[in-house]
Amino acid sequence: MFGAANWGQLIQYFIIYGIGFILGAYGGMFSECSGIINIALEGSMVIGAFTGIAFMNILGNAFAGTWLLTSILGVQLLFLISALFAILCSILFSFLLSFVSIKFKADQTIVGTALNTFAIALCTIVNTSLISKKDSPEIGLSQFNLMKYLRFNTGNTFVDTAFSGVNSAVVLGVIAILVLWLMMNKTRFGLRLRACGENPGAADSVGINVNRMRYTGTAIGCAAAGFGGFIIFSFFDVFIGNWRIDALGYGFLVLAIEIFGNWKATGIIFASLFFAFFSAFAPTISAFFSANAINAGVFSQRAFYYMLPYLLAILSLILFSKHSHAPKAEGIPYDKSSR
Amino acid sequence: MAKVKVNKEENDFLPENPFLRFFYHIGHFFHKLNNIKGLGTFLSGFLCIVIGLLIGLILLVAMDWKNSLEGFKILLTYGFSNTTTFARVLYQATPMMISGLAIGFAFKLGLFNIGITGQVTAGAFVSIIIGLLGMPWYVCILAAILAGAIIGFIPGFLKAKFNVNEVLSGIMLNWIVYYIIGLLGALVIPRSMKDKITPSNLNPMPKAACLPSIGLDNILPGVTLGIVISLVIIFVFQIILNHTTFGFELKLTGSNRHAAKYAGMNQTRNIILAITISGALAGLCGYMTYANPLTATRFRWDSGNNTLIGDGFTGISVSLIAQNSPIGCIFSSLLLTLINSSQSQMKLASSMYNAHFTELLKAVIIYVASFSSLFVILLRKASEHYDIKQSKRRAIVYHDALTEGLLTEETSVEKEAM
Repeated sequence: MFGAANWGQLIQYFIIYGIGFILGAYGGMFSECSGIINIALEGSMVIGAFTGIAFMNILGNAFAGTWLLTSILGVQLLFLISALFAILCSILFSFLLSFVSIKFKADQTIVGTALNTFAIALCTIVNTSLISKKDSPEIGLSQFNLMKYLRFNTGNTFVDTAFSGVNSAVVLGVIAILVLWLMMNKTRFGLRLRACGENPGAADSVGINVNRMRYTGTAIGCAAAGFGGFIIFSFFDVFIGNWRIDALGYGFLVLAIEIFGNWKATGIIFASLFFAFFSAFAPTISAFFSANAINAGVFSQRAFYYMLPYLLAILSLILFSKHSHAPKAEGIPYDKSSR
Repeated sequence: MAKVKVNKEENDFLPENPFLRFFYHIGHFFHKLNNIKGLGTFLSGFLCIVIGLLIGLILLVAMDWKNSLEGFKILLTYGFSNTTTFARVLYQATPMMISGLAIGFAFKLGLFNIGITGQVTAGAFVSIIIGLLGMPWYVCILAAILAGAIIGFIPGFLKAKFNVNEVLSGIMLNWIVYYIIGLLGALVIPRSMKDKITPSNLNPMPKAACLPSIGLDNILPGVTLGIVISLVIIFVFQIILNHTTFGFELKLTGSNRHAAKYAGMNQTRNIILAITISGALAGLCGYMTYANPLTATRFRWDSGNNTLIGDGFTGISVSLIAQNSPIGCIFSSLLLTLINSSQSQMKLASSMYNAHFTELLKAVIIYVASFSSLFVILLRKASEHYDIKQSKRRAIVYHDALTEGLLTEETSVEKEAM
């Protein structure tokens, strides 16, 4: 039977994927609403995840044996610091995109594609030659074991499993989502940001510095995506056993989520939760089928469940895309003289 | 006498700073070459490669300065070191140039065919299955093209009819194709077609289904008919894009959608056709990747590791460096395979260099490619600026000379005619 433990695991994955995807897609939204196409979400996620995890490992080695590593509180503090470090690195990374897009009027699709490759190569090189000093770029948080999580002991299997993936970074992630949502929908900054993506000429005419808004938008965007990457990859430890450090295509998935959510903060939350549910559902159900040796033809194949969200998304896109509305000035470098 | 005076004055309005002066001369040189067709594309492609390689050299120096020159030499020349490696560069570049062409063709219409991975995967899978069924190579090629075209048709159709963003549907289709192959492999494909030791791989393409040789096996092992096919296709597409109505419509739709609509061009048809053709090319690339008789690349049908095959994404790099020009794809794919071929050798120069360095270098080259066209525009602007200044100055000199009586009207007219 698909018992409480299975449901718990489903919810556990759902929480992690959900928060990671929302942050990643918000990353895309913030830069695209300011007028800069961000294909480099994959790169941002890699940078955020790698720098965060590597920094935490370095801190872990530096403070080995102290209370920072032996108590849950200490490890959670480390998590917060690493998350902030990941955000900082992602912001630095964002300037690689925004600077050439704004100053050199570069083609943003190309820059983004280049930065994806760049981030993967850079992280793999830094890890193999500086940090782990092994040929295979293995890096993970295994040295922190179960201390990674805030554990709940309610005695209820479902609740305990469901929230066993929660740690301080995840909590910070939820706060970040709330802040970003408010920022986009309820503040003057959000309105101005969207104005820069829709009609930069009009925004400029009322005294908004378009280029500064675009720098800020891209920085917030990459920071959010990097943080999302850190949350997902610090939980799943996927950098172990891979031949290179990459984000498994989640960067492109959040790009799709962002378009699916129609570049709107609320729409993106629903789109993310939809994909997060299926991303959580696929490993849970296929593990359940293989553990119980159930054979039901197509329906017992893991590939089927992994395919399902993409298939459903395409079908729903056909229904909803008539009203899809991208920011108008997206991808066009702002030129004052064209006003 | 007058002539000497004019020439002497001419140099006065070049900037004092020798550095700026140098750039003015370069700018002027480019300005003179301005009228040659396709030169801008070539120059920006060339510039981004030079700048990219320079940054690569700086990185090498930063990692290990003692062996940096040695490493750089290996990077650039290892592909030419003997006929075997050179042949490898050639046959690995063959599918890459086709995938680059596929991306570049869709880019002409302003469409980013990110679904190329799915199209390549479909082409490869279908052609291997057809090959394993005992069909000859040309049937495999047709099957691969058809499979790629069908997968390419879907995002085009959705874009034209339902306004679905082609990047989005492309990404989705990549994964759908990937998992459908996983399903087919698990449920439909018989055990005999799978590898005995690792059943998650298909058997390699049988010899009869591989690309036939063109008699170069002894000199350049691995170079097959594939390279001829690729070159022919690229030249055909160059002609289609530059000398046919269809190519003109594509380019116009890409550069100004509204103008194309106003001129009565059928956008729906053009969008669908462009991505379908792009998909067909991608399918061919998929076949070629797995159909080299020398290296039996195994196709992994099992979707267990959730990683798409990367051959399509390389096409994006190829096309971006070539500035979407079909002919340029030949050179950029050769450059990328040249860099790739040195991957394993870089380690020999220094332990600090690792295999991923070449990936980094490629990324830097593409990064520079994104704004290298700006350099060309700047150079042109500089030269135009120079030209305007020069002609203004010339007018003043003539005016002065005329008023001073050094020149007669006749000589000045003669000079202007020159």
